[in-house]
Amino acid sequence: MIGKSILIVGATSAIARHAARALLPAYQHFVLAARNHAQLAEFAAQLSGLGAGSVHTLGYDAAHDINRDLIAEAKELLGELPDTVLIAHGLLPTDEESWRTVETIENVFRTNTISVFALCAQVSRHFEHRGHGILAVISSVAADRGRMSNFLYAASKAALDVFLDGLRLQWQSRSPALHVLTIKPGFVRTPMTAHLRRTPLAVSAERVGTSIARLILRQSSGRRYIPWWWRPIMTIVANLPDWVLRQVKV
Amino acid sequence: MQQYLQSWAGRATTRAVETVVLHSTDDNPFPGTHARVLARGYGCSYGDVCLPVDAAVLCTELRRIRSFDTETGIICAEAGLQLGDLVALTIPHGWTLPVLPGIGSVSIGGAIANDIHGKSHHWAGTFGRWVRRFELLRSDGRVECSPSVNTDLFCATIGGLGLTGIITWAELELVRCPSPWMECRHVPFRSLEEYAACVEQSEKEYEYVVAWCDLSNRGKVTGIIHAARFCEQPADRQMQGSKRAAIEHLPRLPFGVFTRPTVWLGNRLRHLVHRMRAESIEYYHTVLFPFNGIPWNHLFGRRGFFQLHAVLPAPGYIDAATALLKVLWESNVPLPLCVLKNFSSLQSPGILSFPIPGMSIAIDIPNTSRAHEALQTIIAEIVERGGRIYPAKDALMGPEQFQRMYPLWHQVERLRDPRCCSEFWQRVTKLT
Repeated sequence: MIGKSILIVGATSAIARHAARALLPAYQHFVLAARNHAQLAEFAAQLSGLGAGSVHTLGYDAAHDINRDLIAEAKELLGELPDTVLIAHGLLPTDEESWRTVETIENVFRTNTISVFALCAQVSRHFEHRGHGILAVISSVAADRGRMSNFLYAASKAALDVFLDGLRLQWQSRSPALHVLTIKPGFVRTPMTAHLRRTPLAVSAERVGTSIARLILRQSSGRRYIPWWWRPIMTIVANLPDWVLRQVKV
Repeated sequence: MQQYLQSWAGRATTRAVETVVLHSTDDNPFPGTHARVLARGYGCSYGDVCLPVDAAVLCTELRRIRSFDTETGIICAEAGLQLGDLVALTIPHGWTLPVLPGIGSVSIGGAIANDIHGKSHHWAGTFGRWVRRFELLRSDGRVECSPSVNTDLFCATIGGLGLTGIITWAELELVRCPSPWMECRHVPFRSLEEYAACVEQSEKEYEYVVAWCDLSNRGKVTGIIHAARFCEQPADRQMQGSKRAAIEHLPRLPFGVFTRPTVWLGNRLRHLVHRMRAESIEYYHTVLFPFNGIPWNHLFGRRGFFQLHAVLPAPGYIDAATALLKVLWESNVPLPLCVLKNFSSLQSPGILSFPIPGMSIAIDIPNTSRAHEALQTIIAEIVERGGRIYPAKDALMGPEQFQRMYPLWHQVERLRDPRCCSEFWQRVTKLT
């Protein structure tokens, strides 16, 4: 099998699409998992048109398929374990007051956090046995500090960050060829954020996607901010006293 | 879309041209009008061979691997695939391209059209020698060419500067390599005579040999011969990805950074670094693609630069090189980079192929009027001595000079697709 292989969960998201495109031609084999079958088929066709060696698809609903072993399914489709797993699915509640309902809390945490933990556990089992691999997970800069808006989303991503930090240390102690990459994009113009107010700091999904591909190709690990200047910004924001955040109402 | 296209050295098309992206499933990219087109990849040619007259067909979406046989090392890939990406795919299977340029972003189509050479010319010859067959998309249809089928078109396309049609895919022969790691040796030399003696010795032992020269001291040529060969996987080294620097995306600077003092300083540093290590084991990437990750062309500023890339014929190349350098030194221009490489007598199938037995010399010179004058003198001198200028790098030679250096150009002109033309071809053949 020539070229590397990747499993992308949440493959129809705008960022994941751009990342997959930019991973060509170093990555030739793709397993795309997502909820929307029509979009998935359309994107798979597009990717093979761009020159991918093989493209497989898997229907996957993060909120409900927590017990499925997606990695084993990908292994079956590819004939071997994927070199890299990119987890790109996420749920941003559209209603600011929705955190008050238990139903939303459960939904957000199942999609953003628990399903990812479950996938990470499965990836770990397979990758640790093999001794090399890259796990890249899309988190968010929002996770660094709870703000007045969207803090349920931020909390779900913050749990993810801490979990991945721990996993990274575990993996590093096992093999130098196991990489955990926590991708922290800033505000991105995507369908998920279409309902939010525009900010001058927003960047395009294409830029974030190509940056993610570059990080994966370079085999980077750690918490990586995209674009890089979010790191100093979030360091400051995370250390601001409450009254400042109350005043600016971000 | 109408846009101005640029060459690697910063020259732009004289007017905005139409650009069309070609996909593998597309039928005929020749637009409905009577525009003259030129296939274009990643714009890595220095001069105007990559600048179209009316319209450009971008082959950057043709990146599919059609087949790869890991037993025989024969790969068939679409023409827009970059050579750096290609070897990244094949090296884990123990195969590499025998001919590689100094930058990995060159496309397969561009490599064939310019019949590129590399650090391995002493045993591998040019890129065209490793091409088994390819498909040409001409205004009258698709043609498959190989050394036995459509031979004349095959020979005209190798080194044919994209004038015979658009290359859509090509089948290439690879050579074995035991691991992605290379054993390197760095041998200093203090004169051209010393270079000539050392390089012969290095070529016997190493697969990839190239020399870097320091021209910042007037009248004195010093430098380092870099020799490398693939070796077995070292036990203490991990397989690693391409570590590219963050300065990769530096935009073109508004001013050039190269002046005689900065070049002098840079050369001193480089000597210092190599004095500390004579031998090393490095990842293939750092050895074969030294320019990856460095926006070298953007450091010359808005005016861009010239690269003089000539081959000086075998007996007496030291005299020719000395005469040529004397002109450059007298004109007081900064010379930030000079690369030497000896060409063997291995023949290429290409009609317009550049290499002839002798020494190849490539010198980067920031674009100034003084540099312009000096280069005119040098080109005339090279023609007199029976040398050649590389079309892929050239920006200055006149029609008479080109036609004296490449007397067989008529054969390519005869097979040229009437719908293909470049600014270069217009200049050197005086076509309108």
